[in-house]
Amino acid sequence: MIWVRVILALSAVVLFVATGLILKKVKFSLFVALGGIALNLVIVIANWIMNGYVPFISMYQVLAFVGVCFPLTYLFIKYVRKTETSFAWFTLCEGVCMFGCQFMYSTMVWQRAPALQSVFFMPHILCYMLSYSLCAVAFVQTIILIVRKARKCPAEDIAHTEKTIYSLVITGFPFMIAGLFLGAIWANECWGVYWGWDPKETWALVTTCLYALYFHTRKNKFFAKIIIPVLILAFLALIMTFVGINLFGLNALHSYS
Amino acid sequence: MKFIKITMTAFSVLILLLTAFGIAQLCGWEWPTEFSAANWVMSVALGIFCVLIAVSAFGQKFNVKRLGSYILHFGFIAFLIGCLIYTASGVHVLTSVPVNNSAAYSTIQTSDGKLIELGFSFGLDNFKIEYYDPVYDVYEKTADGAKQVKTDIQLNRDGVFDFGKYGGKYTLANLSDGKGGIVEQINLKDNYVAFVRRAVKKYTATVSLFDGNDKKVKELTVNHPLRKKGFKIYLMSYSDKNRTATLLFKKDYGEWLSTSGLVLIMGGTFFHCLVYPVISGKGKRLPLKKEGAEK
Repeated sequence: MIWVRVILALSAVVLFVATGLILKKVKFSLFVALGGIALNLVIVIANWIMNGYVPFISMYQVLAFVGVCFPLTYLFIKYVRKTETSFAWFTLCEGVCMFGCQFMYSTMVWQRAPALQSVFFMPHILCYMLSYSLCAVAFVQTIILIVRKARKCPAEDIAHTEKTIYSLVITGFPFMIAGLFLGAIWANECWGVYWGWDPKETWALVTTCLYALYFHTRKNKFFAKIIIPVLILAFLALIMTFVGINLFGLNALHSYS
Repeated sequence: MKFIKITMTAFSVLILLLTAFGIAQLCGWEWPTEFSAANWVMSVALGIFCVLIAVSAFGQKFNVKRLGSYILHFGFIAFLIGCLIYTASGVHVLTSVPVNNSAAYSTIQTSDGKLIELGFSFGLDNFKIEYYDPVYDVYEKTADGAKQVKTDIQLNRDGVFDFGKYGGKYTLANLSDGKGGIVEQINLKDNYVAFVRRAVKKYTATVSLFDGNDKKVKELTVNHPLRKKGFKIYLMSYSDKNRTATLLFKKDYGEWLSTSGLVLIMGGTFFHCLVYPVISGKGKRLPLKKEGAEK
């Protein structure tokens, strides 16, 4: 059954790439992408109905939710931040999330532990998912920046990519800060401490500090040279926080995630 | 240049320290539960970091464009002062209380044996646990016992417990023990066996609070601490075997400052990164390039 899902997912990618990049049928490609987004939304709504609450119980549900954050963040970046960037990069990241979902247990029912029954639960996770979706696209743009620099593309193109990365990270960073500190306020209401030095918390703080460092490196020509390594390390720390800790089986206080 | 050097140094040291602790945790090291050298190192490092970035932010010439940045850096200082007040004068005592509707306690004892007067009395009248539907964990029988191979098999949306490759599917009716309950152990195929586990839905402690002749009966649940005479009372855990609940008594005069600091950090960051660029039209200053840039 899982291979049927994987083949379907790969077929969608092939269809999207073939229509968009090879045949240059951009409108048809957009139609394919919108179809995928609609299906992603259906999965989130189905999970929501199944839980009777926001669908954040398992990595499957959270990844499916992150998926629908990408189109939303694209709209914000394009129309509020007024930064032109290709929708394809957002759909690519959404596709990666949905592809990951294919390998996860999807029929689990909602059993929210007492500690999770809090008003902070939804905003804490929602903020993180919005910031992670923007940081994922920023990482893709960082790779593009590396390629453009390596291929010695025009300075204008490189500057545009740098500005796009900045626009993505500066939009995602407040949500990351909100996720982190709403979690701290919640922990104080639940366990009487703001911070528990849980591995997930430690790596979340490393991630936040690295993205904060990115903003400060931009202010100075000398430190601007390390922007790319900082962005790559920040995203690696984000991956460690989001899935790495779970893979290591080290999610003590965050054992629900 | 001077301020950016301070900021970069502060960030670099903090990130290196945090990464070292993070990697140590990945390698199996556990953060000590008692206040220890690791806590001292991180507390001092975070304290110095907050001061340095605040000095760096406020040391520069005032600019209204940086209003959000000032707010968030002020938030760090407020949080730091709140934490210092707690360190200097706070109370944090975990105590086990037996469920007994006739006993009342007016003091708590710290880990070093010091007695603290609460200024009121409390008693734990009752404790109630509500459970979700059962879940099963699958174990493989081995020569030296049993090894867990799968956990959290729940009644799925199709109304079955699906054990997959370990032994098929069972409905709730299949697993009835005939007494209104559910069988505790299922022998699956080969060497696999499943044991039932029931996840807790809600813990509720009924607490009596006495202030002179005034008695109030309150329900204490996780995430909803009680407040009385400057103390916050948290429900931490419960032992069914001993019929005792672990309560945390916390007194933190700096809490309002710490929490306000966190709110200022969040508000300042949102203002600096999202609100100000939009209301000032700063977003429009980004050099826009149409889709050609991505080709």
